[in-house]
Amino acid sequence: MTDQELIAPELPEQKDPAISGLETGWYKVANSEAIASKQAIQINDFPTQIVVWRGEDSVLRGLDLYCKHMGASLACGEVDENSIRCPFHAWRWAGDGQCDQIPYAKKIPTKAVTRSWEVSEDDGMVYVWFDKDQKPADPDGKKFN
Amino acid sequence: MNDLPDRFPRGWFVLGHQRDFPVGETKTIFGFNSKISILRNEDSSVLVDVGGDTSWPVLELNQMVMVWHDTEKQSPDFTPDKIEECYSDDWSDYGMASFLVKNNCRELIDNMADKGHFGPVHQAPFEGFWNEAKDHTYTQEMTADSPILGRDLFSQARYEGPAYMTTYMSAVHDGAKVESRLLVSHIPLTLTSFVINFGVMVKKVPGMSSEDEAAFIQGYVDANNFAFGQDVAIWENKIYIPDPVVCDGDGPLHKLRKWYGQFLVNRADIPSGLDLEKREF
Repeated sequence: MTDQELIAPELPEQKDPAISGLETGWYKVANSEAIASKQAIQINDFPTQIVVWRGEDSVLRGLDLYCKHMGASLACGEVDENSIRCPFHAWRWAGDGQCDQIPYAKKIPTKAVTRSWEVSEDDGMVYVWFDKDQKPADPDGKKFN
Repeated sequence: MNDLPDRFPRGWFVLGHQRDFPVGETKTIFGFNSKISILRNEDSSVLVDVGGDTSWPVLELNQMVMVWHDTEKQSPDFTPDKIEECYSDDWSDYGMASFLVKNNCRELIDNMADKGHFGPVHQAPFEGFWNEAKDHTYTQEMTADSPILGRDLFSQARYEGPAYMTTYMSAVHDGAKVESRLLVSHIPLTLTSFVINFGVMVKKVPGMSSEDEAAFIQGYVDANNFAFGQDVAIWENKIYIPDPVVCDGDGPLHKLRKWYGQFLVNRADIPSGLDLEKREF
């Protein structure tokens, strides 16, 4: 690492997925075995950075990586039941993008919603659906490895 | 696009502890995108050269050597309050530690209003939490119960400007009351990195040997280092949310950021209404 990289690093940002130019379809992001039960991983090789985790029910879910509250990486958080809990303020996010628990709040703000990504598993591989216009996933859509 | 500030904030910045600048020696550090040379003259005055510019005001106060950074190149608007404990034989000197954080230095400020992070990040859920902003100062008071920093914790932390924060803290360790003073200061290296220089001093315990006292201070420095490590792990893996959605349990984060914003604009552009009357959150 050069001195310049050390003292003037580029800071992360949640990338705008719409500018990726990728065509609609399922994109392979990991092997199934890379995500054990109640584990979360960060995916960078996708139009934006996302967190994908396996809930208690073994189902995979995906959200934008950075928490909509104060910006921490949800991949550093913990899977709780079928949701993921942010390491910074413990806000808990469900797979549909809704914040479903804030331990220290009386009421969850209506704006506490993040972007959800549809995840599927097939033949030992994990795919995430991408469509630049955010159309719902087509189970028979084209797969990209 | 990262919405970074267009400058370093205006205020006093700690270059280091006085004892680190002995007479006749020149020390060189990096800050404000420049090489900074600090020379202690024979008459014990300090000359600071920031990238060839020797006009930055210098202050020696509370055991620290500080410089005034000001894009507008005007005289300092304030001087931090003198802390009597820094000149008292009843207290130790500051034990210091420093580390690099790869983010913009504004990240450090959010903690003042961020009561929600103490539980998840520091395992120290607060009991009471107060904030107050007045002119160039921002104050946080807190009561908590921490397995790391002590039981029955009370702390009063005050920023004087954007980069000089001092804390009075009392806690119970092994059944005995411990009073301490913390310093949290930083030097921005660039707009995306800064070095935290923090200090810990403790009130001497009567009858304690100087060896035990040094070990005790080091223990407290280590505990604070650990607590900062917990923050840094978050800071180095996050994005900046300029306008966060906050909940009813969050502190006055928007108010705090507006207060901090006064140091990032010219004096003529400082908005009014930045003060916050002391209240509990």
